[in-house]
Amino acid sequence: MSVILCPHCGTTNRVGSNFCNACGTDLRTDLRGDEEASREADSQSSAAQESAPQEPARRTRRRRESRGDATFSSSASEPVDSSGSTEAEPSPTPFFPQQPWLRDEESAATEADAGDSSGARAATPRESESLDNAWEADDAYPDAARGGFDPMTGEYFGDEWEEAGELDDFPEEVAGDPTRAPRLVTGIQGLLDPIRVSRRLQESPAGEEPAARVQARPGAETSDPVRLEKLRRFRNLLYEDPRLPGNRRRAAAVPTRPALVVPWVFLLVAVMVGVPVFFGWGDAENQPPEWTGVAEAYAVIDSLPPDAVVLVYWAYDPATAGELDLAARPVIRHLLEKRARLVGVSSLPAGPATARRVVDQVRQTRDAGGFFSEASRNPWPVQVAFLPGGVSTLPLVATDPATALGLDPNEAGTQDLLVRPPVLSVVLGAQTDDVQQWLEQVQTRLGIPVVAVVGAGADPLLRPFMDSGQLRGLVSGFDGAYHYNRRVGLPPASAEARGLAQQVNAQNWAHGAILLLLVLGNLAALVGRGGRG
Amino acid sequence: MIRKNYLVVGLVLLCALMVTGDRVVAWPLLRSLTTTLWSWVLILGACAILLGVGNVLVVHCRRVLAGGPAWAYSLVLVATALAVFVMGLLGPGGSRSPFAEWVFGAVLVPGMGTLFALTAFFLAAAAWRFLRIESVPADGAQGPNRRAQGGGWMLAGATLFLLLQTPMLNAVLPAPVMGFAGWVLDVPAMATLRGVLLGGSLALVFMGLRLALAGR
Repeated sequence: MSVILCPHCGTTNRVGSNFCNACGTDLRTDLRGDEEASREADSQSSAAQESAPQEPARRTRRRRESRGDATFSSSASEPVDSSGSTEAEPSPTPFFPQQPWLRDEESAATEADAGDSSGARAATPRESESLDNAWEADDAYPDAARGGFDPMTGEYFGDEWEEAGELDDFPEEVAGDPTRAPRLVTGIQGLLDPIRVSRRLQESPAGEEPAARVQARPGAETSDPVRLEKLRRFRNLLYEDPRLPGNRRRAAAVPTRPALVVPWVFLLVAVMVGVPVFFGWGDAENQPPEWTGVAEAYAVIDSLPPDAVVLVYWAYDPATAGELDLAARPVIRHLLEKRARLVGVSSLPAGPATARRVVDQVRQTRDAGGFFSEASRNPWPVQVAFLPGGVSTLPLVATDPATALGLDPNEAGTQDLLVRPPVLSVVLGAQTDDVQQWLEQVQTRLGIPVVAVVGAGADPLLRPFMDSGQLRGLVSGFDGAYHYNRRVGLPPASAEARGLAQQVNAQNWAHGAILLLLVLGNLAALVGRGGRG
Repeated sequence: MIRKNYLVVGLVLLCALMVTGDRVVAWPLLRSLTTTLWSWVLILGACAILLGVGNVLVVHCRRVLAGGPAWAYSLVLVATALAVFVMGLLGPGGSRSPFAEWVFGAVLVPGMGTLFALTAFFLAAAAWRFLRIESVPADGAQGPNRRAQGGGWMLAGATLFLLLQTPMLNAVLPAPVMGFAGWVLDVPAMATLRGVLLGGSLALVFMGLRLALAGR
């Protein structure tokens, strides 16, 4: 097996890799020209591997050499050749031509003499052989390469080898550096190796007295095995990454085609949704079910006194505006009709602009009957400020509203805002977390009712908050918007009402398409075709 | 290693104690201190955003200058970012200048809306592929381990709520079916979700303890 080296970090990667397994560097650009050299190295390494003995120490030594361990190379007075003998040989080719910081002076001088070429390259036959052995070592101890604690057996795997003195047979990433701990998952691009900040309580290898290791810990009653076990388990709870019992790494099958590209499925959905919407087919008299929370939200807002200050947390942006605008518009319209004074914050950079857009849409809506005129007559400007820092800064809304809302205390209008406390808060968020964070960080300090307007996907997770009384109203998704509009009394002839009817129609057909797909998919599976494509 | 982090861990613990104490004790001095801490977070957050924007610009400028892959898209990104930034700084309306509003309304909103609209197609594809009585494992494994457990339950739940939320069928379905769906939402689903919330909270506490006591 031949490998290629990352020009950035020096990690070995299999030939054909597009990106480095450790740092994600693109390997394609620099290595295309070296493919032939790599193939040649592969064939030569296979021949050399057959004749090479497999002693761990020698293997490790070669691996260290091959990985460019400058300290090891410079201190090795007896260079080892591929057959394991200790005869003198020409200076080894430096392994990381683009990483001078990995070489000592002697190696650098040797490289300069040898006139090494620059750029990422395929491994030489000797290096390739060494790295083959390294791969073998990893394959021989797959658990050791991963390391960790098995909660079912109560044993560590990986570290026994280190404790037993077989550290040389471990991957360099784990065994070579005492500050780097074995990781639960390896080989994922972009992950940094965790830093071991302290030694954990070591599990003894077979036949060794565990108390001997624990005695170094002051205050520990090491003679009591029960106490030892409790101590060990508690420390494991704090130290170890969670690991599912029986979780073994399984090679994922390479899909023959992209996972979610099914053209005829896409076409079916497009036709079943698009045609009725554009041609106006279907019965618009149907209506989606009304879940609890909509009527309560309407009642809370409808009972607001005029000019009441309402705090708005605008936690969605154009990424989810397709669904959230539908739900937000009727609620904002109702608030404006009640002459509420809306002030708000958003933790999203595009949140304030989204808020302005929705409020402008509501205020500019006109109809012949004058139904929407009340909202447009609301005299108060709607202020939504961007609050960088995410959830960490949300408590400021309760403790220091002038800073959080970006209000200038010297302005006459804002002084009134600072004096009059808000009587209601409305959370407009796409995710459950948005509402939950508001309840935890702000609601507990302000103690005012909260109405949530969320996406349909967040609805089930917010039901417990509705049940416990932390939420006074819940309007979710298109269904919630539909029924809120009906409660407000939307004129049937208005463009808004026609739009709602059209969306009901589209929802009918879209659900029909998905139900059809469910039936077809299961039928295909039952008749043995698999239906995977 | 942990000795070197004593100062950092100590500061983290101090801040955590102050914030926790502010939730428990109504002490004006503590409230003032925690408010100051949150104000600092506000400033740090703003600086982090500027840093991120600067990083994006540097990465894409390098790609444009080096003629890297898809450099034209990088050029559009850099040009748009600079234009909006300059208009926000120099324009009379600040971040509400007409150009910034146009970019938001004519570029950002339709673009993100288009991506959101694709959700329906991905849902349909997922329904076709994975909502099976005998579901296929996510890793696509073949052979004896191919069947994953629980596919039938997933299918039943999805079908039930699809039927309930289809407006056309909502009026047709008998009341007991609607009652059963309500019971599923109110009892087993709510109990499960409460468990999830409690479990998540406990995990958060242990993560905090682990970070504070073990340093990792």
